[in-house]
Amino acid sequence: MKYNHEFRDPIHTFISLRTDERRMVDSQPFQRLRHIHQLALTYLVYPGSTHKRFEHSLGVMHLASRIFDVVTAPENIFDESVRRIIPDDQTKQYWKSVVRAAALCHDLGHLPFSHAAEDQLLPDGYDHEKVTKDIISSPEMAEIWRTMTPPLRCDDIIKLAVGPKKADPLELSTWETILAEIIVGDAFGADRMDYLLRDSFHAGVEYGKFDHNRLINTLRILPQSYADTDEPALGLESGGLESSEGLMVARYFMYKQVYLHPIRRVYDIHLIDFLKSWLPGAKFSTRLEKHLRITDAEVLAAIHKACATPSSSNHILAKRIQCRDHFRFFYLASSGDKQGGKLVPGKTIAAAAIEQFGKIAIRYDHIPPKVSAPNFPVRRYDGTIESSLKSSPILEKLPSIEVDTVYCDKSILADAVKWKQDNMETLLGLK
Amino acid sequence: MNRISYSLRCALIVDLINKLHKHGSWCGETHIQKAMYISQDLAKANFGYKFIMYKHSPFSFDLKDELAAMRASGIIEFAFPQHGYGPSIRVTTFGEKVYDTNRENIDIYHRANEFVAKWLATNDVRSLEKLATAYYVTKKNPRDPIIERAKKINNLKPHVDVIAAEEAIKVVEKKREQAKREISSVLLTTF
Repeated sequence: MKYNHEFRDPIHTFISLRTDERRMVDSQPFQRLRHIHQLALTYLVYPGSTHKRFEHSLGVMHLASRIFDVVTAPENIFDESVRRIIPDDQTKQYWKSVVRAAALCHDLGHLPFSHAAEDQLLPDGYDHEKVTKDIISSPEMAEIWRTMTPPLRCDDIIKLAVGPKKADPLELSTWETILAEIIVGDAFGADRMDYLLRDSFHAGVEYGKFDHNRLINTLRILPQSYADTDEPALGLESGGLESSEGLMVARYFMYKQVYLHPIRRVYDIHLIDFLKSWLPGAKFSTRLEKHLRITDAEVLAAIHKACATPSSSNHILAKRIQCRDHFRFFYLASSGDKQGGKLVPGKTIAAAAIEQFGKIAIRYDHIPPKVSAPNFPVRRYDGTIESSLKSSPILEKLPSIEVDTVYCDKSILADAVKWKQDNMETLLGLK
Repeated sequence: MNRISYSLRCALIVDLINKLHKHGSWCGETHIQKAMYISQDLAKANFGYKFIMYKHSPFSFDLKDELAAMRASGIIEFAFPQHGYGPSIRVTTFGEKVYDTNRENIDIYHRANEFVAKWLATNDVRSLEKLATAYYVTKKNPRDPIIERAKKINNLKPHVDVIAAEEAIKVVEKKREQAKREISSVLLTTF
């Protein structure tokens, strides 16, 4: 394949494209990503985080392409069960094109401000992956797939771009599942690799770095003999285990420091409050032409306007964002708070606080505890295969990440803190 | 039907894990996944786990996330009782407390859990995948002759030959009949 076009990139230096791939980048759905912040309003806390989904998507394509080359190289395939699923050279080239196209397109369906508003502002049954699927199969994109060399099948791109979890009703073969893992996999997906490296670079937070070059070079397709199954999966040479641990530790720190920063999170809540009031019917449209017309730019313009217009019904909501008049947290759950048997203590505190101070003054934020303990095959130096959780005590014991926070209007902060101190133990059954 | 609450779901999973262990299971994630798939269907309840065909057998990413959350909360833990194998999942003391707090409210699901645990506990992963896939294909194509369903299984899992797939379907059908008799309080889905 001849790559005729190059982008300069702060993370990967140069990202190359073929001429027919350039048409994907020039399409309206892809160009829209130039105006979708990768990390929503995080730049209000980490001022450098103004990067967009556009460059991230290019980065994911670049990494996915590299991973594909490594894991399908004949010298990196050791087992007959793996050799059986690798297609011939011509078909392999087809799938490499699909991997690159899917990686480029994996975020096309994002709403303004990426994930911030997705849960509450799309109709039931919709998420950004569903919108991504709709865009990939739209007439504009279908024409691009049809005229590529070789032509790409729309369903193949969808399967790899959204992965098995979201591809339903499409079903993925073992080969397709592995290719989807290359892009959106939890353990070493190119999406995760790129966002950690890129977000840490722009946020100015060093924790997100890890040895991604070593990690990529040691990725392999391996049998899962330790799990008594005949199906191969994406795994790792044991020499790359530390770089995989590095990725997971980087992810943990980035979540703690950046993604789940309590002030960053409350800006998401204020953004949702504003959008619910501003959007017709309190929802984003899922009609493609409307989706493609709305970006962060339109929403930010509306926030500016409402903030500058005291008579606007959205004035206070806009001011919270624009003038940093955000709510303050007065309760952050700790593990000891669960000892009374309440698994989500913040929910109890928030409900009682709403009774005490009124709904308008309280906001609650909850993300269930998450621990990523990726279970993948590791090829040891003697050629035997074992579970990553057995090979790596670090992967097995990674701490969990959880959000269970209650916020209040800053005008009642002192009262809320005092109220919490007086009532928390009783409310949580700790007395 | 509303989804049962997080606390009840945790108690339900604890119950299933304990029952799998009681019947001699290794109790890795695959055991819990396939057992919950069938238990949810037999109990005809909304545990909220959507199962899709992933790596060619029914799998729920929701359940995967829930198990991760339960591990993070200290309700379950990993153990490595045998060299060369993946983790076995066990209930912690805190997990038992969560179960005790909620046990009365999950009473109606005990029988389905017990039935499935007894059936699947000692099957290895290969066998679990075969049975769960046979269950899935049968549920999706209830009126197809056994040979047609067996061909579908073979198509999804090429390493399961048609004869082995037919045997798996016969086991599933027999177990479904047995479930109808033994779990009388449970409304069975119609194949």
